[in-house]
Formats: sequence, structure tokens, C-alpha cells
Amino acid sequence: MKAVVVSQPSRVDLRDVPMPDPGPHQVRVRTLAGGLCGTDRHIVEGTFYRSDYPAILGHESIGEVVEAGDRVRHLKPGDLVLRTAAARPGERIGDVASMLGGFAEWGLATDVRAQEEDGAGPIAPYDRLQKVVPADFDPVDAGAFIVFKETLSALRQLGDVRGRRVLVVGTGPAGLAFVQAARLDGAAQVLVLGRREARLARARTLGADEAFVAPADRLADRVRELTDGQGLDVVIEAAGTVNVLEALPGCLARNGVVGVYGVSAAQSATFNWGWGLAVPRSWSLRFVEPDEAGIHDEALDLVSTGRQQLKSTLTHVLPFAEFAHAYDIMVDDDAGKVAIDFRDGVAER
Amino acid sequence: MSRGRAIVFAGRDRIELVDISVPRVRPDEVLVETEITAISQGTDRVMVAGTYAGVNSRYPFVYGYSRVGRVLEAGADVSGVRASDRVFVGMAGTRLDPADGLGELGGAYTSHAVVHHADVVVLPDSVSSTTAAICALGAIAYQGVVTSNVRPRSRVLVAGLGAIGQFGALICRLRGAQVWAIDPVPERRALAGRIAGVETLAPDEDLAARIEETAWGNRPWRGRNDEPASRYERMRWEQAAGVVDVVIDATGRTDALDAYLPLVAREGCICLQGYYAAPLMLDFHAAHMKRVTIRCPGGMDLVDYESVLRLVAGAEVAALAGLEVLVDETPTVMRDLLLHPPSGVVSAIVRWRDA
Repeated sequence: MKAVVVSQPSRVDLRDVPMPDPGPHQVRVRTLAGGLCGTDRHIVEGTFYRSDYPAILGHESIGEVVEAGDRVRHLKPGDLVLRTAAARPGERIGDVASMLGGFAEWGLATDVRAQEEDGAGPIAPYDRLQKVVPADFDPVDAGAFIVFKETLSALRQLGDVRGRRVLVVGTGPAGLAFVQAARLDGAAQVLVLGRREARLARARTLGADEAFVAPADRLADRVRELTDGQGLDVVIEAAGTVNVLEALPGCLARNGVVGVYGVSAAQSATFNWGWGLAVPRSWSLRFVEPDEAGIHDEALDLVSTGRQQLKSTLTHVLPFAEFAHAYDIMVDDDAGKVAIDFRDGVAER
Repeated sequence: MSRGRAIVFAGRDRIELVDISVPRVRPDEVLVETEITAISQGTDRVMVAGTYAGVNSRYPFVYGYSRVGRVLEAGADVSGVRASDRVFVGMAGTRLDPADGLGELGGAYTSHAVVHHADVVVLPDSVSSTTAAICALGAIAYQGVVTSNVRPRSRVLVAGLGAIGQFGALICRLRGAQVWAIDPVPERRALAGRIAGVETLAPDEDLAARIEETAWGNRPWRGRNDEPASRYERMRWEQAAGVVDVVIDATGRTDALDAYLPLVAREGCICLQGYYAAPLMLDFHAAHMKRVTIRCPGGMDLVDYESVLRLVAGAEVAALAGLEVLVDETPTVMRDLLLHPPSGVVSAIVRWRDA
């Protein structure tokens, strides 16, 4: 079967890899679609936290169950499953590692419930994310849905945003999803810091009160203007830009929190958080851990009732054969969510 | 308008004792005659030395945020506080007469306080004035402890045993945490062993090993108690490993984050209680892998103060005031204390008058 393989940093190939074989608690799936993510860019460019090449890329995939292992009881052929992978992180298929393994024509998913019922060894954390979606779920929305679940749960780790002032840093698919999540959860004001007008316009369409560009040294002043001098209760960093972190505490109201969601290319940095007379004290900087599995049912409900429109951030769908082009589009600064369609005959939108 | 005195931070390395006017009390204010003011050695030092960011343009000013005194007069609209009550006055400071030309950054180093009645706490007789004054430092430590998610059974490392660190260690222990405290100065470690009742280590020891040896109960991050499900998970767990849940840094060292991040377990917290004169380094990837929280507490609140007063009632916290400075000596003795601190003294008090 074909898979998207990062052979070495900055080199991506469509390569033949062995078909994965399901274990007794696993199903084999035919991959239907998958989303590209900023983290993929870090993996491709070799700036992710770890590197293990060659490796199959992709972690926002969706597959249809075609074949089930002997002990599988809670998944059946035809089910649509999220976060399928040809190999789990840390595992190999042939000589190829998994940089989460989703962009392959065939993949695996685990019947976690059956495995737990059988007491059959520890559950791999990634398997817990392999949730089923309804039959009418459009596979190209898988990436946007996974991002929505991550962002909604990450936002909630920073506290209840009802009536609070929120700044989202970043206008990529995750930044946009944070805007939507903050609106859904009742934030009083949602501001967005970005770099490019096309993306800022998208943020405004999705509910941002203000979407603006500001240099780091002017950011705190700009935020004070926009919040009637109050400052922000919650800031979420969703762009992976380390430099802006230095300026964010100065934008906060007392007891405000900065949540770090974005993956950064920089290994380390120094921060002058400006202890002294001019600095608002009592703030936190928190590296958030989304609980994607825990919020699945609620997120699905928000989507099925139309309160969250997954297509609102999707700008491109390309066939699997055009992966390289899709990657270039994702890296381009003006794109929203880019999806790969593994089914035949789907044209670019 | 009556006359009073103020200890003024007049410029770099300069402390002066000057006469000032005491403004007339407004209906919602109280007039307090100061008995003692606590010296917050760490912050006072950078305020006098001119190394606190932004302070150089503020001289001359009256600093200080912790005083105990007697109410001389309560305004007509004041309830809950009466003349002759012994009170604590917190960070809200004092109203100075603009004619004296002094800035106010806390303003507790004055012989009299003119403050809003909501900014004082009436003290019970059971609490000594020294304890009451020194507990302002406890309130600062308390906010750090509470907001850093220190819970019963948490493992906490307190770095730096100045007054904030001493109180931090004590409060963590009283909240049911297991506490290790580090400081290079043996006298400070001895004080922490005696007052806070916690285990102490020299910073040059192998901290992780010593903590593992002496720790009891649950490991900091529960994920480590199971078998990893994959090679990847094993690697993640190794990156997320740490011997404590929380590190409270009260040293102000600018490599605090990088120094203590390896000791903190996944989802742990590093509380920055120090004053950091230069940019802090952070290993961003390690912080991300550990899902760590960096917490910067925000000074002192009266609600925290009241909590601390109750919490530490059984501890000998008055002994943290290692030196008593008479007000007339402040231009020399207080200056020496701040600029050339004796190694065993973590805090001190200025006495304005006898109790």
C-alpha cells in the first residue's frame, strides 16, 4: 500500500509500505481522509520534539472498518473511526516508523473497550483517541473535528471563559477553532492576534470581535485599548510562536492565564517577563493537554446540532495522489484547514 | 494635622529618617500609630539598591507593606474597627501629605498610617505583634502555595530559604504536603528545620536522588505507576518524569525554570516567588512535554493574610524576625542589614514604639 513517508527532514515521498495486520483487539480500516496540521510541518522539517525517520506522517485520519480481529466486539465493518494509523507512535511497519502513521491507504484501530474488558494489557494512549463517528459524518471533516475537540478541551483547562475576555494568538485552523470554542463557551470578548489579513478576515467571520496585527512590543497597549483597560482573562497561544510569549503576561488582568497549545520549533528561549513595578502580577503560563477522548460525545453533539460548523475552517480538499501539493498549500500562510481525500475521483475544491 | 516620621528610600543605597505630616482622617479612614513594621529583606534590598525594575525614577519614596499598630482614631463612617484596636495594615499603604513630596510604594515605613478601614485587619490578643507583622510575608508565600496547586500528599521542593521560602515550606507542610527545602546557607536550613519542620538539603546534593530516598506515598505523576503500553509511551513517560509535583522558587535565580524543570513531574508546577532581575530561560520543549504550569503569584491580599494567621498559629514564626531595628537606627543599621545581610537573618522588624 502507499503511504506518505517522511524519509528525512524536508523530504516527503509517497512510498510503498507493508499492509498493517490487526491484532486480536484491532480492526483494519480503509483510510478515507485525513487533515494536515501544523505539527506535520514540524515533523517534516525536523523541528518536532522527537525525530524517527523514515516515518509515516499523519494524525488526523479517518478510516472505515473492513475487517475485525477475533476479540473485537464494539467495532464492526462499516464503522467510521478517527485517528486510525498504520502503526502507533513508537511502533514500526517494516522499516518505517510512525510519526503518527495516519496517511496510509490502510490503517488500524483498536477496540479499547474490548481490550479493557479482556484485561489484555495496557492501552496505548493514542488508541483511546480512536473514536467512532456517525455514518453520515463527512470524512474530509475529520481533521477539523479533531482540532475542534482538542481546542475546546484545551480551552476548558484554562477555566470557565463565560463572561471573560479571551485572546487567541494564531489564525491557523487551531486558532480559528479556539475562536469558535471561546464563542460557544460564552466568552464576553474574543480577540485574535495574527499576521495575515486573509486569515484575520476568516477569524472575524467566525466570531472574533477584533482580529489584528500587532508587534510584540505594542501588544499590551493594543490589548488595553481593546479591553477598556481591563486586560485579558485568558490567552491561548495557538501559533507556536515562542517570541510572543514574552509579551503575553503583560496583556493579562490579575489572575489571568496564558495557555500554550501551539507546538514551537524553538527548543528553548529566554523570557523577560519584566518583574518590577510596571508588571501586573499573579498570572500563570500553562502548557495545556487536551482531553480529546473525554470531550468526544459533547463535541459530536455540537456538530450534529449545527452549533459547530466543521466546514467553516476547511479551505482545501486534495486527493491523496496530490499530497505534495496539499502540503505546499498548508504551509502557505493563507490556507485554512487542508484535507486529503483518499477516495478516488475527488477534485480540488 | 499632626507630625510623624518616615523611613525614606531616598536614592540608591540611601535610607533617611524624615519628619512628615500626617493627613487628617477622612470619614472612611482610620489613623493607626505604628508599633512595628516588618522588613521584607529580599524586596527591600532591591528597592534600596536600585536594582528593582523601574524603581530608579521613583526615589524618594516610602516603601513597606507590613505594619502593626494601634488605632488612634476611626472616621465617622467606620465600623468594625475602633480606637485602641490593635491592627495589621497591608499593602494598600498609607495616604501621605502631597506637600511632603514623597512617593508611596506601600508606605508602611511611617510612624502613622492613614488608611481606608477595609485595609486593616483587627488582630486577636493571642497573636504577638511580631508574628502579625511577619505574617505579611507568609501571606505572599501562601498565595503562591495555594495557586500552585499544592495539595495534601503533594511533593514540594522549596528553593531558597529567605522569609518567603521559610513560610512557603511551613505552609506546604501544614497543608499536608511532603516538603524538601534547599538553601546554601546552613543557618537558614537549620531555621527551616526548626520553624517549618521540613527536611532540608544543600543545593549541591543530588536532589532527585535524595528526594527519591526520603519520599513516601504516591509518586508525583500516576502514569508512571503502570507499565508503558509502547516504546513511544515509555519515552514520553521518561521525558515527563520528575520527583516532585511543585517547585516553589524563592531564590530569584534566572535559571530557575531550567534548573527545576527536570525535578518536576508531568502536569506539575513551578512557582516563581522570587524577584527576577534578568530574563528567565525556559526549555520550551521540555516544558511542553511535561505540560507544566509556570505560576507567578501576585503579592499580598488581606484574605490570604487572615488565612495565614490562623494556619501558622502553632508555629514559632516570630523567630523568623532575626533582628529588631530601632527606628532611630534605621539610616545605618537597616541600610547595613539590607546591603550586607548577615547570613542567618531572613527577616527583621523595625520597632517604632513599645507595645
